[in-house]
Amino acid sequence: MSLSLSHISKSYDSQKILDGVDLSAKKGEVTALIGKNGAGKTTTFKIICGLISQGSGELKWNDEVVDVHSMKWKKKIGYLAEHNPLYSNLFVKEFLSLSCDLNRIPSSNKRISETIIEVGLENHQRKQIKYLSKGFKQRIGLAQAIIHNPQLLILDEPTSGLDPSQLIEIRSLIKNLSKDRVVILSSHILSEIEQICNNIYILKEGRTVKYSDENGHEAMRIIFNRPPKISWFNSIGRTEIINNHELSICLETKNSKEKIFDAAVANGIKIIEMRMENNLENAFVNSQE
Amino acid sequence: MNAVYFHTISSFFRSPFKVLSVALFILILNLFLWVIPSSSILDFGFADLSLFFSTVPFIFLIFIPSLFMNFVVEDFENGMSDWLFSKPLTPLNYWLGHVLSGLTIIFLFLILSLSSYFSIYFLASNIGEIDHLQIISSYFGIWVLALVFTAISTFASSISKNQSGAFLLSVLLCYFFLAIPSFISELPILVGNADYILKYFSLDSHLEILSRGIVEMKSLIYFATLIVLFSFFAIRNIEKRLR
Repeated sequence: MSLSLSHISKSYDSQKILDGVDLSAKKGEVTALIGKNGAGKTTTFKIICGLISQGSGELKWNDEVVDVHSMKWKKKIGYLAEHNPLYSNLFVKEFLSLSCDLNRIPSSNKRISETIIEVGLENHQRKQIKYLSKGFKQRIGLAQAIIHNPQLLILDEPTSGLDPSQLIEIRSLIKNLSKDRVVILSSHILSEIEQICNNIYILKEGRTVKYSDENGHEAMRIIFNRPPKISWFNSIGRTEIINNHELSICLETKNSKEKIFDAAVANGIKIIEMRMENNLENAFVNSQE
Repeated sequence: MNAVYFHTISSFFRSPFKVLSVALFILILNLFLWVIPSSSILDFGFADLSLFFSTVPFIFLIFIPSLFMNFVVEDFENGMSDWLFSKPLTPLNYWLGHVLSGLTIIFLFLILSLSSYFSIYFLASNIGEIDHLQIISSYFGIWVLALVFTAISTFASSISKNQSGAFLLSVLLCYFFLAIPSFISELPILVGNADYILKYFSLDSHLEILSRGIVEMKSLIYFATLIVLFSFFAIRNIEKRLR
């Protein structure tokens, strides 16, 4: 199972929102689409879900062009919208039952029970949605998205508003869900994206750029007690001066860290602070400049 | 469609305000029919429901737009439309689900109004001696009127940005088709067949014919045209709002 978007564009009146979005995602992987607010992430998701039409471009499922407005396509999709719309006057089970009916699932009771367990809503299934916390509402949003066993799961900011423990649970749930389906998500929490996503696309000015972390090499930021020279560390990996006392060194081998200490000692310079660089964060910031 | 239908019906009966508003409409109707002296059947002295059938269109003028004022508007306002239409649900099915649920409530309203029919049935000087054919055709007339108002109300809601706007537009449109052409046709400035033609475009003139127990093809064509046109544009507007 795979999904690919090629040259998707969309304009509202004269404003171009998407200008050639390319993206591919496949089963067993979690694909992320990140970008600033208003970059077009939700628009891209809405196009995939058939909620709006693209101006141009193609959407392919298993290499076949799909009509995103067809009922056949919509049966394949599970969608958690950005603000997680729910009928708050309904009870949890009732809402999931409505979701089953809309997805035309026969024998929905069994499936509702399974899904409730899957997302950890066992103790809240008989409660009215309006009385639940944001975290549990988010779980209901996830439950309705997966209740019909969709082949493609689109999650627009699935972890927004969750506390750290809920975050860990939902993260592992998403990982599990990706085993037998295509999962595409968006989030503003870049560290989370790095942890759970296999492919990352950065959306800027309506176009996507596939993020690559330079062949998996990590970089370190090091602050010294006095200005260092690049030549002392060049043999360890690609080195850049950040400011007078600070360097960024790409760790190209397993013992790169030891080599940094050795080079510092050899040149009589003290390390004040040493931390891993967030590559995705840098890439994201650079892409937006 | 079934899911939307049952959800809308259950939401209606879950809301005490909405159920009370139906009760209020029935109460007002019965006050007109049995209590207020100028319109009371008891003061009128004849065992017929013509007063009932002339009052119901004006009750419907408020009741039906209030039933449909949150249709489309509410779901698009609170983002539920994204959720609903990401499912295998077409705009036609969405519209049908809402319309059928609204018609079910209107049907219940009319069933409850049968109490008036049974009352005059037993109040007639010879029990049961009332014009049944006239009553059946009048009931048919107000049922068709309910269909027209429903189509108009869903159309008004489909183009409105908020519920009060939808309600107002709906009342205005319903009132326009109910009485305005007939009112204009009474003006002395019209020449030739203009008054006759204008009357044709007034729902109350067709209801009047039906209340006499006559079902004319031209009336049916007029009702059907309004229902189909407004329904068609309501569905088109939902599709437009989605894209």
